[in-house]
Amino acid sequence: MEFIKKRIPESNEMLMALGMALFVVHSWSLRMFFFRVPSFLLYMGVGQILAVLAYMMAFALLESLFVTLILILVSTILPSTWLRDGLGYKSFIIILVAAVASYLIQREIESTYPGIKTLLLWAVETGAPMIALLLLAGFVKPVRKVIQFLSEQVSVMVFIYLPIGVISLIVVIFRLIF
Amino acid sequence: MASSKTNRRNLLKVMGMVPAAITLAPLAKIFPSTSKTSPHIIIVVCDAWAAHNTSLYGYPRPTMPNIEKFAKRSTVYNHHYSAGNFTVPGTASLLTGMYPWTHRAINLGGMIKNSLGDNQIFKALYDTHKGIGYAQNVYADQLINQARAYLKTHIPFGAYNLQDGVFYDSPLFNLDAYTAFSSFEDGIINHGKGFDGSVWLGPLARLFRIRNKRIINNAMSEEYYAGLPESLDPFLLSDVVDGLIDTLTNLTEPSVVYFHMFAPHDPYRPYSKHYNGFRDDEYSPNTAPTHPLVSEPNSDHELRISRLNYDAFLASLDQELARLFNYFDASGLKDDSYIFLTSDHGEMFDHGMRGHSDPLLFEPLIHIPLVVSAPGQFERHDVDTPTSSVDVLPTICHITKNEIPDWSEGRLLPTLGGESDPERAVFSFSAPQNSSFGNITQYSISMVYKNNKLIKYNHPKYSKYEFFDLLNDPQEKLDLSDSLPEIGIEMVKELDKLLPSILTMKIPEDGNK
Repeated sequence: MEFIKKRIPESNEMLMALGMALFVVHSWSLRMFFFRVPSFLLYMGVGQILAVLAYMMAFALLESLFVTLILILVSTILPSTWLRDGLGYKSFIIILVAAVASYLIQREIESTYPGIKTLLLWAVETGAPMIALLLLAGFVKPVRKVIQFLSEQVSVMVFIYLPIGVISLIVVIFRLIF
Repeated sequence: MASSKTNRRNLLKVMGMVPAAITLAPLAKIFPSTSKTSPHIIIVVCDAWAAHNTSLYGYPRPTMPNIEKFAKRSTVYNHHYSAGNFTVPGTASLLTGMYPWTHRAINLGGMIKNSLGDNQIFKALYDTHKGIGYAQNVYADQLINQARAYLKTHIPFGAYNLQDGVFYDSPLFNLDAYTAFSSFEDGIINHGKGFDGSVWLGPLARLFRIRNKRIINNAMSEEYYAGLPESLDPFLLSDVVDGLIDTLTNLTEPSVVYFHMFAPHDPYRPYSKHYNGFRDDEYSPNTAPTHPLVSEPNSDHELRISRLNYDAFLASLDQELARLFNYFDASGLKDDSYIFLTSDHGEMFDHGMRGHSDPLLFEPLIHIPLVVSAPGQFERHDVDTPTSSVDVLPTICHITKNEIPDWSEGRLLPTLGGESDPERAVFSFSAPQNSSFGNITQYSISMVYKNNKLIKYNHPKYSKYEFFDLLNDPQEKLDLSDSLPEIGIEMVKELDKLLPSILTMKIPEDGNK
């Protein structure tokens, strides 16, 4: 137990990781939601649209928690200098690069399977800048400070998106039961 | 003497049961009798099935020979029209017996107006028939779901697909399927190109689905050279028909079965043996010029190829339907069921348009098949007067001796309780760009009357009447609106009289009958 406790990152670092995940995932979902709203307005009432929003926000909460848990889990497994120490700013870089990669990849996904070569290429194209940025922030203090600062700012989102996600999840559960 | 004693005893027994029968009578409505007193109603809908491309309706290619055989013992409605030109309005009109401007399911992804949502065939027959509903088209499935209170069995959307990659049809979302559908299938997880509403899990799920699809396609490549048919997920035509046969095999009490197959909807994926089956025939239709409302015009070559694939897909569907027809005969269902074969809308490969996504109302888009087999029918009947998809519900109520609900706007189909009325006008309507709650401003409406067709297009890009003489110009190439014949002038007057009530939802008391 003591061993696991030692391996788990600092709580404020985990909070920063969660903040970044919540910020990216919820903002993305909201963007998609507002993109769909004009057509929803044609055939859905306000209540129905809010219910869809609740589903999307609840799913975003679960996705954020999932991503954060993965980061924490990986940080406990890897050597502490790799990810555990400074998880906050490192998560910022990882999530940001992975989100940009997802944006670019989603533009490419067609109805045909991309194939192993393309998938490997995508993995390299995502992994390389991620590692480069992590190394840069690790070795260049001013860069790390800037990213840490941004990461702290974004962690405020925990107090906005987390309640939204939790309320949405309650709404969804309520709708599924009653 | 002994016999008379027995009779007296029996009479006394029966009289003793009278008070109990009176007391328990109301329960009969709650627990309908399981003894079979009424015929089954089996409605088989093939999505995007155009009468225009069906050999039964005079198409030069032998696309559906088995339907022709089935029709020899059925009633064929030769001028049957869908009230809508795509799934949502077409299906909603079939299920409710209402025109699109009344039920208001007019948008892609839209639903029947809340207050009318459960006014469907299942409700109309609830007291006498067990409701069983299935739709392999997600949008049609949402409509059926609106009447779930009247359905004894709602077969999940993915039941006959080779992989179930949709979320909303999970039992978890039973009570909130439409919201789950709008959130997951129409937001969080994208089913085509473009962006998912989820950053990572969405595209991951999409990649897995595409990968599985590829594996399944590879495994079935001999049977389906052009790939498997897809309704979000791939399926085998044979599985869908087997699913219907299984459903029918388990019928124990009078039932109304609504079975909405996705084929022959796009993507057109016929069996290998039908693929290119019509490529070398002599049929080479001349296409009409591109209509101004076509959003993505197709070349003649593209239209020709698409038509070939669609026709081949029809042939494959026909092959599977033949198994269904054999089952009807072998099981005896043909003798104690009314079987309706129809579609929700058509498909077009003309006027520059491929499919059914633009707000056009040419014949291939709205003239749909309707073939009805009555119990024990052994002769073919033909009905040549116009009929509409809104007629199906009242007719079914009539033949099952149920009251025709007052919400229904259709008439009884000729030979099934109704009379042929050559004076009747039927309407089709398309208004996907409008709010389903307010007045309608952008729309297309067609009126077919005595082999003439008037279409009013009212769109920002194109606003015009078009008039066609269907008897002499079945391909609707020659628009006569600039020199309207007398009947055309009459039709314009009639339509103009109806339009204000249609567009503002103020339906006259006698409805749209």
